[in-house]
Amino acid sequence: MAQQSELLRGTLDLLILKALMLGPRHGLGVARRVEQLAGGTFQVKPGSLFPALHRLEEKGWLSSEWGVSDTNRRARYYQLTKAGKRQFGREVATWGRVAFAINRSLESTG
Amino acid sequence: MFRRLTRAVGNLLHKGAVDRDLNEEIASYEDLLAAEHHAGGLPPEAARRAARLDLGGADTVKEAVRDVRAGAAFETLGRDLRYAVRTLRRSPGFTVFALLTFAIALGGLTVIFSFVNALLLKPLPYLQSDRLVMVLETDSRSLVGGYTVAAPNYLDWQKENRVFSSMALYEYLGSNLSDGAEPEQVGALRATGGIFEVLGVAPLLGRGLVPSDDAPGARVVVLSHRLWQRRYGADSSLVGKTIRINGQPSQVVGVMPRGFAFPSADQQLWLPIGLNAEDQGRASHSFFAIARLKDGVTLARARGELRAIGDRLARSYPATNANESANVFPMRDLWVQGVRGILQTLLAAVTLVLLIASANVASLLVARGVARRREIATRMGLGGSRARIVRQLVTESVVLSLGGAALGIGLAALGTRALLAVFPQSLHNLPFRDLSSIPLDATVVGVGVLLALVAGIAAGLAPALTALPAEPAELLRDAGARSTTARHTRRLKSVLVGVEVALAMLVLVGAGLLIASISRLQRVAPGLDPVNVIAFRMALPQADFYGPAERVSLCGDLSREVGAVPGVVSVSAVSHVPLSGASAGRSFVLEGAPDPGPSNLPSASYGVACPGYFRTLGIPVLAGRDFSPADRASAPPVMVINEALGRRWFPDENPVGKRIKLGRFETQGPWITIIGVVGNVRHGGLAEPARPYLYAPYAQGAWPQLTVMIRTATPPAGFSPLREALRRAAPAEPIGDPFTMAQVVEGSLGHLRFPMILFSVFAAMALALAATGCFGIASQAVVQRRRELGIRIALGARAGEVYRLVVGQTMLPVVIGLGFGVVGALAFTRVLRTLLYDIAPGDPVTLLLGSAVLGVVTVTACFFPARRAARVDPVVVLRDE
Repeated sequence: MAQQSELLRGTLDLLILKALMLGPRHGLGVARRVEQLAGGTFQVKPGSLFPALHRLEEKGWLSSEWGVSDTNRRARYYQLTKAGKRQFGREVATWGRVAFAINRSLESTG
Repeated sequence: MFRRLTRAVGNLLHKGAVDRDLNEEIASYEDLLAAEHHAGGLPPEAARRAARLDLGGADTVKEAVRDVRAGAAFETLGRDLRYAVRTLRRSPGFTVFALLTFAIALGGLTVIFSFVNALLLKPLPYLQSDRLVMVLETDSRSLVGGYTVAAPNYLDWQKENRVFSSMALYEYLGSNLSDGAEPEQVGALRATGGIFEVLGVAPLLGRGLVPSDDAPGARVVVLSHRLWQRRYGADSSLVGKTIRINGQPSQVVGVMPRGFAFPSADQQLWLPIGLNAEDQGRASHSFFAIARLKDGVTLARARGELRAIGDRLARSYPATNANESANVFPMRDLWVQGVRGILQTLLAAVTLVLLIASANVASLLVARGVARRREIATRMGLGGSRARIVRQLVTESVVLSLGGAALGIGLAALGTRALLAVFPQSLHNLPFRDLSSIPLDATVVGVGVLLALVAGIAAGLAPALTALPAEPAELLRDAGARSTTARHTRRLKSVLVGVEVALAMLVLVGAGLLIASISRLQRVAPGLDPVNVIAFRMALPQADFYGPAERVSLCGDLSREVGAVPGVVSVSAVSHVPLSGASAGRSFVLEGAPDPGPSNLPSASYGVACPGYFRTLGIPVLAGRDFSPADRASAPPVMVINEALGRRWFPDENPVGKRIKLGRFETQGPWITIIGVVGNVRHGGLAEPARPYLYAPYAQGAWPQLTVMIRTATPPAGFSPLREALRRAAPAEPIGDPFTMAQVVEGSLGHLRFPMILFSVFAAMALALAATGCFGIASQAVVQRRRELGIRIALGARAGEVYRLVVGQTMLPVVIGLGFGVVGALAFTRVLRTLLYDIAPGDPVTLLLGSAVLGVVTVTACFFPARRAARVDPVVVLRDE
């Protein structure tokens, strides 16, 4: 099992949006996709996954409905709304600036 | 925004459903995890355990999700509220003005609504009070309204009906308490046994009245809680003891619970009905009947059945019951019929004031919206959605309206008390716990807050929508009045001002009509001279309402003792105070005229007076003479009539010396000589025309209650010498508190004074709000057209032209508003019809006057900004650009 590390809330939100860019997924599907995107550097636990999903839904960036999984089980599927897609674009831009600034400050020798 | 709002509300409303959904989602997650582990090679049981381990406590997860859900709904609200409060704090002038506007309107509304709630909406304080009805006799030809009941008819209704589960009969009485302490008179009721069972209220101590008490001569009494506390020190051993009522020993059998009142808080004793010989006549109408409808019986069915019984009685007893039947009314309807119309009208008026207030705040918000365009554009440019900004602006006005409601409800607590002071005295006789504590209960406060919310949203929404440009860039670019947005907002403000003026017109005309009614009533000659007349009520020992007097020497004693007090011009006493509405009636026949038959007897109001009564009250003796001490019980019977009776029954002759007989043609009674004719007095109140009136001398036709009337030369400095003299004249009789005839005349206006005062207050509010509305729109116009005005002045425009320009522009909505207001007033004032005296609802003078006042006030309000405009220095203005 990979080394577990707590994600910043904003980072998890961003990764969830990214995970849903290609289409609707259920909760476990989102978790696995996020883990895959992060290259297995951390695990997404239900205790942070579900609040994040519901928070994003409250903000109107995700919508959800009940469906059937490929293993033929009832599951709740999430997908990006239009506002969610716009928000993803904005967050990526912000993230880029923040990441750039952080990297530079970490790399600088002071 | 709407979708999210509905979901937030949905979350709150369907909390259960949301939780179930979440449970299911987590269960499904666990299933999926288990399936994954199983696919990875674990056996099913181990896979399930591993999944549960991964999940790490389903309840913790659910809790975290619920926090997110609840938080999100309130997080944005909280942010909006904080922002709104911060913004409002930056413009304290606007904030205070808007708060006060809402506070006054919502305070007024809360006051009126608390009365409506207490009197018209809340159940009466009896068990299932909507099943309680009153049964009255009615004229079978018209079937309209009802009148008091004859006991034998009641007994037949009770025997024959199948629609009531219980019934009771009662009559009002005054009773003298004379045991140990100072003798006093209290209101009482004589009622049939079982009356408290009809009402569904059990006594606090002992028992109520029971059917076996109905037999004549039963000497028992039930006390009110208040009397028990006040006079008997809440002595719980009082039940079973004997007190003296009207000089007779009566055994206390019960005490009613605190707050119980029937029919009103004035009645403090309930006595057995003790039907005597006089009560047995079917023509002797003096009682009221209440009944409780059986379960499932409708009012219509009860009416039908009672009418059928009444019609049968009319056939069985044609001599007394011809043209009589019975009618059934919901109890509350009868109790509040005098006040319902007034309160509904006032509620309408104060609602208009609230609408005006909302329009006023709306137009202020429009002006602010214009001033805040840059802020709004910046926020939109930074990514604020239109919906978000509209919600923010509406939040601001809702903060104002709710703040106003908080202030207003505080004001209402004071206002209700003030209002009770002008509340018509007659309405204090309603069967309510205690009218002096009209409560600001949860319903009232809830309605106030709800209306505040609606008013806040209404006031905020229109300006918010117009303040938003199609493109934020347009806002940043445009420099003022030349944009389409500015034109829109100006148009909206004009519409709002027009609406304010039209609504204000309705309230103003209503107030005008009521003021005109009162001043016309005040000019009505009451028929007596009320100045410097002081009155004391007094109760007398008297078993019945017919002569002769048991207290023979009373008139002489009064004249000797009170007449000797310095400053007293004359003193007398009378059974029914003029203008108070109190009256008794008598039928009579004329000597020498043919028998008119029992249903066509002449009748008149009837009163009993001591000698010197007409002189004391300043009622002119037109022919013949006043009563004198010589008209004693043993002397030939005499009466004085009023002018109206003379005109009606002796049209072509001098009535003095003619003889009449009370009762019917065949009644065994003496012929009574008319000795005098006096001027008409408006006994029923100023608004009622004088009716025929018969006066009998006290010595010959006694009455158990008299009001002593004392005329003094100058307004008396104190009442105590008079009271002491009265005590000497009547040592054993209870004496009431003094009042003046001037108060009685004023009180006769009471039913009008109450709505008139409130309407005037509301009209003043409406006028002030309309004026500030006009001031606002004119000021804004001046600011927006500053450059243009500067150029005009630079080119030589005179001050007059500038005035015309500014005032003219604002006057258009005012004039249109006045037009709509006049049309609306024609419709609105119809609801006032029953309150008006001698003036039509669409009275043209009032309409014209209302328009004039409103016009002058609003033009004056526009004038100030115009004057500022005329003083614009063109150099300064053009340099600013």
